[in-house]
Amino acid sequence: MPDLRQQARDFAGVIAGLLNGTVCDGITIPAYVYKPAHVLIGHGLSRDTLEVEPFRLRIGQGRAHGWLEISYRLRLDDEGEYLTVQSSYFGVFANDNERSLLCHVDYERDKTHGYPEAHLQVDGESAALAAWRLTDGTRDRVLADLHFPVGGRRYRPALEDVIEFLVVEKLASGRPGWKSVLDASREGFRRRQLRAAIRRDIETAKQAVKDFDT
Amino acid sequence: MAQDVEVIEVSQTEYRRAREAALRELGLTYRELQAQARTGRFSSLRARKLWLAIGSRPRSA
Repeated sequence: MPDLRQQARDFAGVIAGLLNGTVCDGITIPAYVYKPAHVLIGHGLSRDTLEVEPFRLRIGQGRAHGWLEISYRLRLDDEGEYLTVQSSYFGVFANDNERSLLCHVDYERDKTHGYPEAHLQVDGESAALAAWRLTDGTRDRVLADLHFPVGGRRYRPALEDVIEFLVVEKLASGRPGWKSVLDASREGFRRRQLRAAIRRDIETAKQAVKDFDT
Repeated sequence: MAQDVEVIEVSQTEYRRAREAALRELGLTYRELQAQARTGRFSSLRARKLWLAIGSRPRSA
């Protein structure tokens, strides 16, 4: 039987290390474990609340540039061995008021009704969308309603990609050495995703290796 | 660069209680939240976040 508690601790520790090694300072990321097989990860979780809270994007005691909010829901995989992400949410805010939302990146495994499992939603206005003749005849869609697809289950953006976006777009300051912390962490994420992709399509992987060998 | 982490371990009863409290605060039933998820349009960001946290009912809860 896998040690769910330890796996949850490890996962949350990696997320906290990534955040505090790049764009934050002293952020705590608890792991909420409900047996036999489920875990929530996010700042602000407690025994009584399942709601995560945003935290400041700042290094040291200076004024925050913005706020970030994250959550992960994980469960043991079908083999009952390793934690796998069931859903995740990364929200970017100007301050701690939810009305200051800039965008959020969501992932929901096995999402129904046609929306992409991994998607980006942007708050704001779009003149193009306002002028659009929608196929269902409605006229009340706003930009935030659109689910922009971002890579699917295996190639979705990681938290590392969101952090990189924040620093590169001058929305947050990166610590000295933030890029190497981020690259090392992202490399781990991408390797895990690649392994999962190979596991689910062994024949294509074998053919690709064979192609390289010839 | 893994860090020390607080691990909150709850029983299924405690989890269900926390889930019901979160729904109550939102003023939604699980079915109403589920219906919003089906359309991809939530009544608030809190509702969207709660759906991502509790999602489809775990098989064991």
